[in-house]
Amino acid sequence: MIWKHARRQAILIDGDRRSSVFMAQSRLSILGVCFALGYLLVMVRLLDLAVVQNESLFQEPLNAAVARAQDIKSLTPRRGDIYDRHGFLLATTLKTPSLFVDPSLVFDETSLSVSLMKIIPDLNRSKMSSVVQGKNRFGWIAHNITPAQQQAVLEIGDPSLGFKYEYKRVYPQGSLFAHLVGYTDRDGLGLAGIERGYDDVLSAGEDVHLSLDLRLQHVVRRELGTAMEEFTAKAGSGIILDVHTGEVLAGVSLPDFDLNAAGDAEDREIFNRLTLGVYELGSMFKIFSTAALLELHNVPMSKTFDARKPLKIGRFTISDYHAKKRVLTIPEVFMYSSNIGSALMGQMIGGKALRAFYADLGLLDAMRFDIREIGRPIVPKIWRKSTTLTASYGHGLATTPLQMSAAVASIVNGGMAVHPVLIKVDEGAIAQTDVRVISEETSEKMRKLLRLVVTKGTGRNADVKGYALGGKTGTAEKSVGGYYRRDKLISSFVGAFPMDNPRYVLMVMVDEPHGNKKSYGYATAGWVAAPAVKRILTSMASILGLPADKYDADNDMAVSLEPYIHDKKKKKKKIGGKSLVSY
Amino acid sequence: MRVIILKYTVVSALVIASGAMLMDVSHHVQRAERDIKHLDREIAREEESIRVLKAEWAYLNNPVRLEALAADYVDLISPEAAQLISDMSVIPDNDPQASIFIPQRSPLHRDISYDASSPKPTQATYPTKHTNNTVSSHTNGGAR
Repeated sequence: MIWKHARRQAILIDGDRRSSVFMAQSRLSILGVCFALGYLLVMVRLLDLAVVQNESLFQEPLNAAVARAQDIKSLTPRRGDIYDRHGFLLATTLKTPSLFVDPSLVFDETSLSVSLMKIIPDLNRSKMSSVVQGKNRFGWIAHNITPAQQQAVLEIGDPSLGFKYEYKRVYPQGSLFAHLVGYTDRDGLGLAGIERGYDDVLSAGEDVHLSLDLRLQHVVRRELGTAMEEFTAKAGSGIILDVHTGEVLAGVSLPDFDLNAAGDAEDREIFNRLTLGVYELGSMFKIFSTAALLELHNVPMSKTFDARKPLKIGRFTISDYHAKKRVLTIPEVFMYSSNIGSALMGQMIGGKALRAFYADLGLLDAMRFDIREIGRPIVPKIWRKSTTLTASYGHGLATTPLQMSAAVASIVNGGMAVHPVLIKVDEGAIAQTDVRVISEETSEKMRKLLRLVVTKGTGRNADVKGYALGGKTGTAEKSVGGYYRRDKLISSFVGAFPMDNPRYVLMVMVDEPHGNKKSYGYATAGWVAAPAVKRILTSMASILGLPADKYDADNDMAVSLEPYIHDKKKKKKKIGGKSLVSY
Repeated sequence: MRVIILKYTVVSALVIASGAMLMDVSHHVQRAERDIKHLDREIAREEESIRVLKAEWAYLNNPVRLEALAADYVDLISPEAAQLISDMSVIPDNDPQASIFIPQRSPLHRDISYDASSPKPTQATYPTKHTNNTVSSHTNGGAR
């Protein structure tokens, strides 16, 4: 019994011992399996990372190039686009393929170059063979090829060829906005126009919306071109300006160039005649001297100036082109563009006051603008007594056409200073300045005088029935080598409409026009620039949907000035309009 | 004893199952990431072609080009200032008695009705080539 008991005890002890050994063994093996699984996981993951996910092992050179190009993209943002005021695209950046060759992989150079010549006709064969025979493992064949050309190259299937993607600035409107939009170099650095003036904004990838209107721009360019062709002129410029916001709606300088091939443009094409070129615009300054007189001196319209004989001041003789040889009232001086009358007005105003008035209009300093190509006006260094007289009709003062039209806008818009802008102003924005140049009353008097020039004076060829255009002609002799040349003129016309509440200022300037049969040999502003403004106004009205008012000659703004006009003879025998040269 | 074995079997099965699930999920994530990359690339490509098409559209809408096309294919002339009206009341409401001002303008050179099938004058631009062809066919006929 005792043995039995002892044996039972032994079995119990033995069982306990065995089961604990067994347990330890099984724990170890489970742990081992877990570790094995863990190692397996790590191995699989390693394989996955090293082989499966490593794209560079299986990638073609083309995709690598795409990836590289995308890396470049992530570093430098794509240059922003430029739009006109209605969202028409003026400049954009496209990713274009450029073709390169790895000479070490070229199998048959002749057949390769033959098939490439078929695709890219302007390929330089000798240059290509020097690239292929070179020691480098990389050589450019063609930059910025078209998608169709790229497809054709891919279809050759030559392993030595590859593409790199580069950004290219594209100007869909070609030469239409040449001087204002400007251009960049190959690396996308702005060199001219808005591309230069807004380089920091554009290169940060932001779009720019200009104040320009594509359609008006085209009309101005077309009509300016027509005028230049008709009168075989050398150059010209044209502007449409909003008189309240100062927005430049159209700005053209001719001759121009295709922005997509700016590198090939000639200097005379690149020159910006709108904001960089300074010109003596002549009689247009009579707008400002007359406004100064009306503003600073409380004179009635009936105030007269003796224009019977030329004015002699020192070595200067001031005479009228078509002398009336009588005493003229203010409206007469203005409508006949009398130099003598204006000089006498200048004398009355005084040199200091006239100069200050011109300065207030921004005519004596380089103006602030959204592009950097800004010309500095030429102003007499020493302001003598005679300078005051000649400056009152614009002699010896050279300004940029844009500056001139902005000053005119300041006069007609009710007297508030206008600063031209090239960036679109949001609708409903508050007026840009509250700087008053002249009073409301003077502005209204000036508008009547300007209207009179178009109904009765030198600007009759610009009149469009129903649009109440007012304006002023300016014909100036060009100063060549210190001498004023009678045969080299600058003919210009600046207009604003509708004159009862002006909205737009239009200006056309033609450099060195030549008279033709149709103009009876005249190359003056009334024959050259005024008809161009008329044509621009007509097209502009239909584009912007500005219907004509019913024309009523008896209710015209200028009618109230008629009592001051004392013309004895009826001017019926004239050959067309009479244009008067301001010196 | 059996309970212990059962317990460990279940635990190890769970470990293996969760490991497998983890593998599966990570595989899915990888595939999804690859898909995203692919889609991103495709989107970039589409965006690029949209840009190209926009540029081309702007190029085709160049006013100089449109004006030339309009001159060739459209039998209309630009409106004159007097033809623009400010409001609809200016248009007479079928009243024959109403006296209105109809601006005079030169008659159109061509018929107004537009017929797409009829050849446009601009399409026959190679008269010399055409005459050459007829001449050669004549000589051929003579030789026969």
